Amino acid sequence: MAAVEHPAREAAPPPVAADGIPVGARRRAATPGQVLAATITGAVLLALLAASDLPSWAERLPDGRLTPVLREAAAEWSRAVAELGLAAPHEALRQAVQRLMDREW
Amino acid sequence: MLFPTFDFLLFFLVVAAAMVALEERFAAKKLFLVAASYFFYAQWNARFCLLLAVSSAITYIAGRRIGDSDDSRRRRAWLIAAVTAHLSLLGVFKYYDFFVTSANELAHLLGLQHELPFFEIILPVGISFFTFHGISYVTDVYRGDVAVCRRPVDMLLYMSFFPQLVAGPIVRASYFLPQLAGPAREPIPLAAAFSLILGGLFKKVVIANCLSTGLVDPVFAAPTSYGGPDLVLAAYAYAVQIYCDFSAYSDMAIGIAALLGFRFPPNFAQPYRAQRLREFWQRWHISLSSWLRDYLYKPLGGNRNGRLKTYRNLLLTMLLGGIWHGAGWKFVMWGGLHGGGLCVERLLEPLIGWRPSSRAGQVAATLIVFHFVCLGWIFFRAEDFEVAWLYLGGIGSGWAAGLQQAQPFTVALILLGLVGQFTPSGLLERMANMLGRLPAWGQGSLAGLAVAAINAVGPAGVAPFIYFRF
Repeated sequence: MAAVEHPAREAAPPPVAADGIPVGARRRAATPGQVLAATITGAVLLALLAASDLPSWAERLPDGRLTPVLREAAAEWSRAVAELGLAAPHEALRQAVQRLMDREW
Repeated sequence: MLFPTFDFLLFFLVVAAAMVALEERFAAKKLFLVAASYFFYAQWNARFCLLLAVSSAITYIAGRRIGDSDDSRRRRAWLIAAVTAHLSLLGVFKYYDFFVTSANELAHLLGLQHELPFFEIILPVGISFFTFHGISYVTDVYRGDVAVCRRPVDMLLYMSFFPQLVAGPIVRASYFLPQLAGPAREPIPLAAAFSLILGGLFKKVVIANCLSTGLVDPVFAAPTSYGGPDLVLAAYAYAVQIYCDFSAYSDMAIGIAALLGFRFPPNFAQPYRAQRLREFWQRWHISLSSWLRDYLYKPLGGNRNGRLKTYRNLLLTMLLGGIWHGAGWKFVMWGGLHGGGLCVERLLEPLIGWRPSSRAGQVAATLIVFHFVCLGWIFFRAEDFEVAWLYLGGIGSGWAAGLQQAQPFTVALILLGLVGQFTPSGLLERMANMLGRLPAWGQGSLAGLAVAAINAVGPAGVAPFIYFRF
């Protein structure tokens, strides 16, 4: 609501045409294929490391034909990842932060 | 469907895959993005997709009529009709119940028996944002600032593009429509987009959500149960929370749009480092403040007709900006407070200058502006006027009892949020250039790790973004 017109001596507001990603941050660029590859890699890693959250996410899904299958798959995946020990860092970090949050003066 | 959820990740994977499949077919890509955006919007309430489509149709038809006519009276009539239609939709869905409640209270005070009916209309998510898109487009066509959009699919995408649909930034037609004229020639800034998205996730999930659950919500729910130290810290915490919440959404929207090959304008520029209230509004919600400047303040006369009219225009703009945020008197108060502050600042400008010259003066000015903004946030966040006054009244008492609610972790988050306002410019460039040295799969892996860590640190569940309700 800057609702203001700026006399010449005032610093101008960022122009409306400015870009949210400045030119200096655009030097390293990718193709749509690389965007997809990076997103898939990130999603797989997230599904591995945050697997313990998948069952609760699946529980929140609206009821549908596929939902029971998804819920079962999420629970199964979470169990398998926990057995491999991959869920441990996530859980350790969560507990460490919880301890920090609970700390009093 | 909120950005920081598995649902959105799955949705985005499908969209990203489609972008690869349709890379060489730009028209099909736009059509797909329209369908994806309507699917995204339907996740809140499918019926409101019709409202979005009607709003887009009004904008498209009015734009064509204005652009194709040489008759100035006819052009003006179409502009007025389109703006009236947009404001009517906004008025009915966002403000009807507020006006009815206010009218009934007034009638009660005057001893009148009749009451207007109350409908409890559901507020469509993002209506304020797409309405402003529509109004800015028809006005720009009328002014000759933007070419007429002749492809309906372009208009549908401009009005509904999912990264900005529900909470902005408000993207001008003159900025976005040229991007729909042909495929982007430049590659996608993957590392910068990931940096923005991850930074946004951290601000939203860790800082905003932790401050909300750990301090702001309990203190604002019962301010009389807390002493001055908690009340002051909760006001600071809310200042940090609302900044981290809203700027996080904007950052993620900019990043997601970039991954799809589109550019969005910036929406925040470290607002709490402002040394003048005017500067604050040049740094906070930039797309809305510039919208109000160009489509409300300037048409009212701006600062061209003398001091008194400038103050009137400032006040009116800020009052309307306040009520844009929500149908309630507390938002009017918030807008009035900022409008009054801007008027006083302008009045004092011959004495205090545009910017303090000494270091101590700059620090003092930043502190004054920040605390004034925090005062406004108390009205903005409180349930109603009564709670806001109780809150303000309690700040002076209970200092001997110390802190009850604010714990070291929440205080650290407040400090982190405030320190973030003073980081040097060019941080995004440095992060993007560092991350960009990795191959795409490496960047994806690092992003996956970071998201998992953020997910572990944040409180359970996903709180909706504050600006969704506006």
